[in-house]
Amino acid sequence: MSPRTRAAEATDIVLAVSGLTIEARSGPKAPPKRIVEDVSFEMRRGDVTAIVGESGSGKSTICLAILRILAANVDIVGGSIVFEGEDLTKMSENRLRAIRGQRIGIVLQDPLSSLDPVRKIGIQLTESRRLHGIDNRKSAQVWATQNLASLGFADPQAILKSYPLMLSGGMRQRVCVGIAYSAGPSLLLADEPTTALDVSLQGRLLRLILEQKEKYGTSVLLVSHDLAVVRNVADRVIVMYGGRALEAGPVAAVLGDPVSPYTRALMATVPTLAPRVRTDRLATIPLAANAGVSDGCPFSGRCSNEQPRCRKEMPPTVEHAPGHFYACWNPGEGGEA
Amino acid sequence: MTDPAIPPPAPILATVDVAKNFATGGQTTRAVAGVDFELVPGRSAGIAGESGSGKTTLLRLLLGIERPTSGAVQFRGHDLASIDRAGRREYRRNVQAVFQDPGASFDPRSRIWRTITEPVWMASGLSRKQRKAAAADLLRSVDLPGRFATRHPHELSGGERQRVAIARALSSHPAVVVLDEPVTALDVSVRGSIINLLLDRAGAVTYVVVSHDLTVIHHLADDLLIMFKGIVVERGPTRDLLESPKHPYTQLLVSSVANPLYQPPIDRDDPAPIEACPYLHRCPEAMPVCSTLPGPTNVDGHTVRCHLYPDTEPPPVPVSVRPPSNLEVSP
Repeated sequence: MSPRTRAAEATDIVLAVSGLTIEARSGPKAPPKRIVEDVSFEMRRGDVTAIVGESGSGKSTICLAILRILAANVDIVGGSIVFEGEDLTKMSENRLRAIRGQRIGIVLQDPLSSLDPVRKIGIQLTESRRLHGIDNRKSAQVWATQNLASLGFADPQAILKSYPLMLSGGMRQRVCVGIAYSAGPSLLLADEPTTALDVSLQGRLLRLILEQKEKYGTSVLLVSHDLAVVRNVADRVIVMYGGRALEAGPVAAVLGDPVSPYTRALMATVPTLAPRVRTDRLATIPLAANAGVSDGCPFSGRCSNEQPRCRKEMPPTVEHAPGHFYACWNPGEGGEA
Repeated sequence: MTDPAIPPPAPILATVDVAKNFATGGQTTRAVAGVDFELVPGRSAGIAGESGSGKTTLLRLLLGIERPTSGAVQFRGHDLASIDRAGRREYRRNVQAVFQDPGASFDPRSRIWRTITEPVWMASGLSRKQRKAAAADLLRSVDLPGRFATRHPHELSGGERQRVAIARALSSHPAVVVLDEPVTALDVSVRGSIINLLLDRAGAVTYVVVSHDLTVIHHLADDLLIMFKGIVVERGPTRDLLESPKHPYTQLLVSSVANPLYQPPIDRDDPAPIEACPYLHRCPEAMPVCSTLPGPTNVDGHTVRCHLYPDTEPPPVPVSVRPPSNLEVSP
């Protein structure tokens, strides 16, 4: 624990998600499916928190829930999302509109589909500032011209007048980062921001996200499946599977000394450049029929450490080391089973 | 490493000084220039590079989907442009492909058995009943239940569809399977199992794997070609190339994989003049001589196109250095 007082610490918390539970309805008769269940975490000002997991783990759903832009058949059924002291789950649409784009920015995976193809970059880049009354048309232009250089563009005037299709994928994603930060938000949601980019452009975009974060004092929630990116960028990491947070803590602790069998399995399955014998197979995570949120642990059925009660009862979240949490009945190697 | 006493086996697929240009709005884009590439049986090759490097165009040339602007693509020594009917049939049977997006590479209205047995059916003309039986066998060979044969592509997950695509590619017992970003569209936890599936079958076929992800190539390919703006800047045994990259661009790629936040010494992306080394503007080692395109030289068993390595010994394969015809325009 840091020597800070509790009061100072409380104001330092930008986002506090507590017991968040989200359900998806697939039809009038079908029972709703839990896609996120009892997820809690806190983000401090200026911190980078990463959520890792496979598709369907609920990691992107959490981003959408924070902005309250979930699909029409998806509802927040429990828990709270307290952002700068206000519960977003209970907020009116009017109040939310003031927060979206101004206090909370978002960068999505695909820069192709997140920009409007028929509007010029200059207009899209400054939209937030104008809508939220930070700038008028003229001052927004001045801001954009000055700001494009820090986004790594050599010729701001030409870029402002371009349409998205005139820019490369890497340039478009940098514009998206610029838009997300344009109103100086306290929270940036980045949902797989570099997945669609080449390795040589990935570093540049990640550095840009971190530079701008420093500039505005923003906290970043990074959703990624790339453990190498998470290891290098994030302060804390949450490992999700089947809608549950199975492990969370400082990056060095979780990825260096993973307790949950799922975290270990996920780390083993990722291809690396480590020396290997030509025919070496990769470790895999076996598929199981009952993956998904049920009464028991969502990883039961795929887990090598499984015990009978894993299928019946979700294990409680336990603190393994200061700030390092896990939920598992039988962590085995790495934990204190 | 191959014993120099034993002559190397004849290549199955080869390109001879192949080039491909695309005309875009009155300008010509150089997609692939002066590539010499030989694929010998049993030595899978990987092609890596960023978007616009020409890796996909090279793959399409190898598959006969694109015709070269100049140079030739050869199957067992025969130029694809002048191969006879029987030869083309043999080529089609022996060179199969698995594409990035298994959702887009299947006919959405065909049941799996129809899609999966198309190569064998084309080659041997089976009855409907035989095709269905063959489909079930093929599905089981990639660890999928035989009952998937009657399903439509949308009823399968991405990983299952990619298994089907692999089964389809292997069904005609090809010598070569070309893999275009075989796991990029798949979930992390599924990637490993698809790579394992491909590794298990690596004895019978030789792969050409194209990916922007060096870790995937590292697992599947014996040799590695690094492409930049249409040019193969470095080529050599995969492990060796990753451990001691010679070309400054290869060095950048390897550093970026090891550290996602790696900051290259020069971070700009305006294209170099067409007659210059394509890496000129991004290269920390750029010299006056780099305003000309370097020829390939042999450096510690790698073939490198970089002026840092002057031509001291002749390259293993002679390559004509021809200034490509026009300017690369990136939109």
